Formats: sequence, structure tokens, C-alpha cells
Amino acid sequence: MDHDKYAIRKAIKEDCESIQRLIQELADYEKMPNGPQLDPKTLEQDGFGTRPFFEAFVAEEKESNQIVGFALYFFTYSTWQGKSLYMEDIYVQLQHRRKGVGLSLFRSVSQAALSENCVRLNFSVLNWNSPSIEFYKSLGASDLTEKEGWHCFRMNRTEIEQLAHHNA
Amino acid sequence: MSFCVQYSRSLRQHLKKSFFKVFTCCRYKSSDCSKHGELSLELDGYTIRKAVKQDCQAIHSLIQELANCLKMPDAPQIDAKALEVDGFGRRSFYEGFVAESHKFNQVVGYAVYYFTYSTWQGKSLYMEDMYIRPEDRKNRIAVSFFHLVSQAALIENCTRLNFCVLESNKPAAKLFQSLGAVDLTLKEGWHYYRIPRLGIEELAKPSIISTFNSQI
Repeated sequence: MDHDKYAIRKAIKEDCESIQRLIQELADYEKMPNGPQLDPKTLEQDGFGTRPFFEAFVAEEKESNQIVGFALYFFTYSTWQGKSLYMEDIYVQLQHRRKGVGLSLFRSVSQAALSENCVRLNFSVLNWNSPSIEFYKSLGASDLTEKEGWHCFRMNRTEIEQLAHHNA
Repeated sequence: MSFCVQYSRSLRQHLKKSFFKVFTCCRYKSSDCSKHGELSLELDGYTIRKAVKQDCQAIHSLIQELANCLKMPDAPQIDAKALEVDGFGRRSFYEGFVAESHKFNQVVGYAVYYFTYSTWQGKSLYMEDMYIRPEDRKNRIAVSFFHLVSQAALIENCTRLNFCVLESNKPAAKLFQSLGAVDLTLKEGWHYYRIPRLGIEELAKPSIISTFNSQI
């Protein structure tokens, strides 16, 4: 990465508006533009309140002072291997790609993982996202869905409420 | 992200039909579930309660049993002490519920979870493991775990409850789908990726940037 042009730093509360804008851009890229439901205020409360639910790094273009990329993550746990890190999102704007920014974000997240002595760095990728798949495999990532047969399951709010309450 | 759930077809059908009736025969220790620590319930012969530090030895044994069940007996690498430090130390990386048998005064099942984040929908919960000893199954413990974990999710106003299931674990997948869970790998094409410790160490080195420079 050209360190004269870009800087990677830990995200702060004031970055949430920019991060929310990039979250929307990533959703557009993933062909799910109606996915994002959060506003910057919620990101501020959830990431920088009394109990942070995530941490993040941002990539800043020095000349414009604009945030052009981000990586958002949180710590998880493997009952087999212990502390782990899950990278929820990583995104760099199109015009700033192929300049080492994505890799620098990955490096910062990896350092965060090591600071907590994590043994795994996990994330999810859409199976058609070939450029990203190629990038992640070049970094040593393996596709556990293909390799071991793990499938990602989800229950949404409605199902959670039904499970939690006894008033069906 | 492991579950060992082996239910007969008739029991799955029974569970699906009687799922919402199960709580009429359960007694809650506390009707005020405003705090995670008070989440518990009594079943016939079992107490389902929040895990405490002293449960880590028993949970560790059950983690090994689950790995054996999944035919990966060498997979567990951490001991009970690590579980104590990581769950009940300076910074808690997970939370859990345990099922305690009244008859033997023993922990016979557990569910481990932690809070995560969706940049689309906000606070979420991930259930990492759920396991019940074979001899203690068919006693509503599994659905009770899901019930209490869901309550923990609502206390934090979570919008998603996520977990992973092995493709080969058809009974578990069917049970979860009967509870309303969706297989996002099949539905949307999400694949689960991992970089192991050695890969993380490589990525953290300053030299990685010059190795890949101008390609990414």
C-alpha cells in the first residue's frame, strides 16, 4: 500500500456515517441493496457504547481525508480451539482497489486477532464472488463449506421471538 | 459450531407439534428475565441454567463427547482452565447454558453462544455448540436451550440467531429448519471461510504488503 496516499487506523465513533455509506456500497456489490437496515446512530451505539458489539479499521485517503474502505470484526469462540475472530465485512471502493488497501486492512485485522491470541480468523463469502474468493485463498483461507460441509444457518427475529415466548 | 442431535422422525414430528406447549409444563425460576444471569428453567428431572465458572470441567468433557460424536475426536485442543479464563475472566468471549440432571447432580448438556454483529441488521447471536448426552435426550433439553438462548438474544435486542451445521448432520438440520431456521448456504450461496493461526501470523507481518503489493 502507498503509505503516502492511504492510512489504516482503528475506527472511531465519528467514522460511523462513512462506514454506513460503505456498508451500502458493499450490499449493492453483493446484489442485495435492500439488505442494510441500520443508520449511523445505531452503529455508533452498538460499536462505541457501553458494550461494543464490534470493532473496525478504516482506510483513509490522505489527500481527501475520505474513508475509502473498512473492515469490521468481532471476537468469537471455538470450543475446540479457543478465542477466534470473525470478520463480518471488508470493503474497498472500486477506484481504490489494487493498491494494497484491502491487504493492509486484512493485516490490521490479523494483528488484532494476534493481540487476543486468536487461533482462527473466520468470515463468509458468497459462492459467486470469484475475485474475493481468489484473494482470500491467496491469503491462505480455506472454504470450509466445500472442504468439510459446514452450512450457515439463520433464524430471524420472528423465529427468535417464537422460541423465546410461550404465546404461539 | 457443532451440534449432535439425533432424533427419530416421530420425535421430530412430536417436537414440532408440541414445541409451543412445552413451556406449560416448565416452571421458571424467575419470571423477570431482564438479566441473562436469571435465565433458567426447570424440566422434569433437569435444571437448565446459565453456565458458571465451576461448570467448565463438565463442559470440557461434553465438548470432547461432541467431537467424538462428530467423528473428530482429536479436534478439541483447549482444556477446562482455558474455558474458565476465556468465559469468566477479564474479558468474556462466550456465554453458556447447562442442563443439570437432578438424579446424578451432574451437567449432562450445554449450549455455548456469543454475541456478534450484522452490518445490515445489527446485534446478533451465534450459537457455537449444543450437545446433550444420548441418555438424557428426548427430555426437551434441546428445545429448552434454544428457548433460553433466544431469550438471551432478545434481552440484547438481537435480530438474528446464527449457527453452522455440518451437511452430513441431517437430523440436526431438519430439526433446526422445523424451528424456522434457513440454510443460507443453500439459499443465498454463503460459504464459511477460515484462515488458521499460521495464516493469521503471516498476514500480520509487515512483509505481507510488499509480497502482494499492487495485486490487491
